[in-house]
Amino acid sequence: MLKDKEKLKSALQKLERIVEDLGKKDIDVEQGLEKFREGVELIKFCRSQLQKAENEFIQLKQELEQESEGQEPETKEEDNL
Amino acid sequence: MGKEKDPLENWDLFNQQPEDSIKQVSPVEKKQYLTVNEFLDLVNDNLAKIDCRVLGEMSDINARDRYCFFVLKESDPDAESAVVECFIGWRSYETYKHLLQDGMQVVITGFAGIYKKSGRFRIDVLKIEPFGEGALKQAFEALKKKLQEKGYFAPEHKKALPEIIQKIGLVTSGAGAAIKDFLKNLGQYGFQIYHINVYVEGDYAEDSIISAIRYFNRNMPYLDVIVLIRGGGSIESLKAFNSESVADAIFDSWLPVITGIGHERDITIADFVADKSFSTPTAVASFIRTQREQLIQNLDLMVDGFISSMEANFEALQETIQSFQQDILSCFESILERYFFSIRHCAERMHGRLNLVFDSYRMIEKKFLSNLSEWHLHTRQMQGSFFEMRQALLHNFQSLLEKLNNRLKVAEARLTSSNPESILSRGYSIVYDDENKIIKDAGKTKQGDRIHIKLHKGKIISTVEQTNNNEGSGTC
Repeated sequence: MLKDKEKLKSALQKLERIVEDLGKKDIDVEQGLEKFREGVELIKFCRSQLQKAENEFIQLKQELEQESEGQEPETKEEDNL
Repeated sequence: MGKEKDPLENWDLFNQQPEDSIKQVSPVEKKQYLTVNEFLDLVNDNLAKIDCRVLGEMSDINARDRYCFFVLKESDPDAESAVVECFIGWRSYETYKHLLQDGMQVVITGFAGIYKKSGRFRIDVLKIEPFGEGALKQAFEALKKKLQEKGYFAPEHKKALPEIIQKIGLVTSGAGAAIKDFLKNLGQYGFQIYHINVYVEGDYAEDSIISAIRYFNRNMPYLDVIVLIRGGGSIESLKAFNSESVADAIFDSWLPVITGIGHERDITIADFVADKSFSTPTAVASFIRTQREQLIQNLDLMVDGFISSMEANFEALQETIQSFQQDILSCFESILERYFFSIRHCAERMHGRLNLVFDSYRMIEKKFLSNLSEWHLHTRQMQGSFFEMRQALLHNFQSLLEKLNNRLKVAEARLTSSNPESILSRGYSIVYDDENKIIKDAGKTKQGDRIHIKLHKGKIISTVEQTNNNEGSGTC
């Protein structure tokens, strides 16, 4: 996950640099196309990574909520003491 | 006379030597003469056979320390005057020296003989007896004086009579009126009487009385008293009781001696020496009987006294017991009270201690509960903060995701807008060679080359007909 996050972070930074580069006027079509293709690939990668992270987040969140639901009655018992 | 040899020798000769031995020394038959000694021995031997009891009046008394010479004169005034010399040796002298008085009429008993050293006739006196009432009275007074001087009558020498007289040694004649009077007046009180029948007058009286007193002392020491009694009589008949030897026997007796001799008026030496004396045998009996009766009476009184004192003691004892009982009860009660107090005290202390224990337990419980609630609060707080953290985590992560998404979307939008092929829609096209390389310079192509033109929509494959490097545009 950390690795993925690092990858995602660098991928995004790389994508944003490509976007910056593509915004330059002196860029040539071939290079531009090349970078564009790279950027598309990076977007795909980032999207998939984000999707993956989101899915994992949702799953973890659900687990957390289930855990705290399970712990609720114990707290109530302690109150009675 | 003073230079004479001890006359005792002669006395011993007279007394100890048997007649036979005297005969043997006589040599009359063998010789025609006798020596002076032999002659005097013969004379003395014959003189000794004379029963020498002579009445006379004593005169010319020549007393020495241990012996005495005197002259016995004819006492009958009607008779011719006559004298005989007398000698009394130490054994008899001590006994009779009180009778050696000038003019006293006496009967002397002894041995007649000639004293060899002086050749003088004399009587060796063994015994002197006063003769006649006057002499007897004189002798009585003399003996009384002598014995008084010796302390025979002194109160300190009188033995106390026992309080209970039960065993009596009776010394008297069995035939006389004295024993009858005595026994008659003694009464029936169960006395134990041991009687020795003695001569109470005459020549044997003294010895028999002395023997009886000594017998009782020697053989029956358990007797309570010796009773010496005799009926009344003349001073002559009472002679034995006035003798010194009887007085000695009474004085030496360690059993108490009671006497009752003669009539009311008769008083003898024996009476003076006796530990207790009465005027008659009847008086002795009365005394013993009265003592017994008094004893019985005293006993009755003592019994009464004993009973009453026992009753008093018993009552006192009962009172004492009663008071003891009360004391014990009160003691017991006080002990119980003390115990109860101690138990109460202990119980209170225990209660106090228990309360302390409970209190400390309560304190612990309270502390535990407060700690528990603190812990609970802390837990709740922890839980709360944990929850908040969780929420923050979720939120932050979500926002991170959103930010990343936004960044991606922005990047995507910008990428999309900066797509080099997007200008194709505005009428531009891109020319590629067969190797799919973009042709940017017309000079790089020549006539007949096949080129691929990419349009906004679709591709055109054409052939180069002419190239012009100077112009901005070529002709296909």
